[in-house]
Amino acid sequence: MTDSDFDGSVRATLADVALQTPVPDGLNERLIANAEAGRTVVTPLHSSRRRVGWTLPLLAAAAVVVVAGGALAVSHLADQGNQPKPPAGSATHIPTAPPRPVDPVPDFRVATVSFRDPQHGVALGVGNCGGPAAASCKVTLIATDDGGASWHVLGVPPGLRSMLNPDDPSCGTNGGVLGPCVDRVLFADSADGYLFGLHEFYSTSDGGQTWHHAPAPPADSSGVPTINNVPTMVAAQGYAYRMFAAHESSAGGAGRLQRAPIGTNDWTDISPADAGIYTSFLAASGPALYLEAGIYAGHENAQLYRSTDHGDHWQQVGPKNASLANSLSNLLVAPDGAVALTTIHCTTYVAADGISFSEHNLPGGCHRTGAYVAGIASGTELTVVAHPGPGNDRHLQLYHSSDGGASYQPVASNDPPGSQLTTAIQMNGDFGYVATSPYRVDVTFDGGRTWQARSF
Amino acid sequence: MSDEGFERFVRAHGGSLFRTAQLLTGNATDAEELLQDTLTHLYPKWSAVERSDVPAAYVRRALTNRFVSQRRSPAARHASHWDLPDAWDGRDLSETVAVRRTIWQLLGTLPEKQRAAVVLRYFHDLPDAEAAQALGCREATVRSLVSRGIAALRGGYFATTAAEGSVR
Repeated sequence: MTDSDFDGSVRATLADVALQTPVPDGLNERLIANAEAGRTVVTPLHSSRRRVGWTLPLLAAAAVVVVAGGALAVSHLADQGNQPKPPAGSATHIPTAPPRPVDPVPDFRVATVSFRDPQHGVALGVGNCGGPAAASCKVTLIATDDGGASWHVLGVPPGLRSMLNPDDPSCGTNGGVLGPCVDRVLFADSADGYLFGLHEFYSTSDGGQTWHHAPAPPADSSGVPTINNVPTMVAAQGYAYRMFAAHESSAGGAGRLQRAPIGTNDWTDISPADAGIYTSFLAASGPALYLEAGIYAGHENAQLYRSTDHGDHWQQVGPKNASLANSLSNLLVAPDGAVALTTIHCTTYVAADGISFSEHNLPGGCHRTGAYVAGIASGTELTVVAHPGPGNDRHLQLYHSSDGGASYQPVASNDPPGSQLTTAIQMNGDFGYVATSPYRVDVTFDGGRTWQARSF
Repeated sequence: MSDEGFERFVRAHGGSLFRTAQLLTGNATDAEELLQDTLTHLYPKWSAVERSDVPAAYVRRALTNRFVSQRRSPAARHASHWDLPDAWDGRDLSETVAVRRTIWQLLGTLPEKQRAAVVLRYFHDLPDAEAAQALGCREATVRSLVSRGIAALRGGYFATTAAEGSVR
């Protein structure tokens, strides 16, 4: 197929989908009534398909998979007593209300959830709505210390805009920032946490009682803003890492990877030379740090960079003869330093030593969006999520491997993985969680065989 | 605010905007939510929409911008729901349908801004300037986004067909 033919196929595909997309019954009347009432949530259209009514803002919650990848690692490392923790800088500390218990938060609707271990998790969303309109809701940060059985409110900086508020579409709108807006959260431990989003970054070292508003990194030498894409954070062994990808540069990815000791805002640039950070993947555990980048910096293929000294030095590693460009679906590092990659073509690459990758494919063929590594406990134990087969597009299945990905066994489970798994799943050995609706998270303590719903 | 004007607009353009939203989000539920979000946001200032040169283009810009602003990580993109047209289901697929099915599924793996740029260019045939307005970026960025998006689709398509060929 020539380039011209392919372009024509893309046009025909879009036209065909549009032509074959039936307009739902009563759509216009529903749109009018909801708009006039100030409502942004609609009734799910195809409940008979067992489709979870997952709103667009909630889909952003899956960013937690990246966040939690590092956060989970923190639980193994935060108590090792080697965290560098210099005094806080000359930040402006913003007092907030002290934590108070709630059960539940009225109207809480989650945008992001992450657990750093089976007991401790945080969820960012909106709640305490003053009226039916989303605009009346307040940005709310809640935390659990008992695996989601109960939640309490943490303070947030004053004046935050809600990413779920239609009047504040600033999170992610390049150049259209209306006010402080965050849509991600990461807590390295019970005290040290980060709220971040497009153009905004806050940190706390007292569990949310006060927040430090760290200014955005300056534009790079070419004047390109370094924060205009999805910011990503991970934390491990006393360090927090933040990656601000940029894609406005004609030269390609001009993002930055920075590091600061947890509890400080002493950010230093540790970007690999010529890495070209765009929509990159980042994972950390112990001193090991992995970065997938390079695809938009003039390279034909994305490259995997590995550091074993918190980002001071980098080496290119990665599976040989594998094209990661536009195909990598996730990247995770185990506490023992083993690393696993998955692709949309259902290929898994596992390196127990972080360098020598073995390549395997999921059994049963590859369907829809491929495979996605949800957890890696070691170089031999990992869990992958994939669609189980054709005609089963709306289901996802957990697969577990005990031999470094050489073979996989489906995890027999009740819901949610069988029928309702929609987004945001993270496994850490026997513990895992998945957000299945705006109002709940499901957790497992037996490797995904049984799940328990937790409301906020 | 003109309730009558708003209602008339929705009845005239609701279906068309829904289809655009479907191309962006990949499924009907998210498409309706995206469109609802957009219209609810615009409703209080509908008189400004009506004063624009082409209200339908104004709303489409807002819808696209809202979609792009609802950022998702690659992981979320991977796990999101992506509907296939009913007519494409089944085992006996013609080659044409098989090609379109593959391209449509690959479209769902693109970053939101690339996907939106491809839809604006290849479905709406928008010039760079108008696409740049809708996406909130520069014209050069639009060209880059489209180029990257098509390259990714093409690469994914040939990788997929090669993999299927090797299985056979």
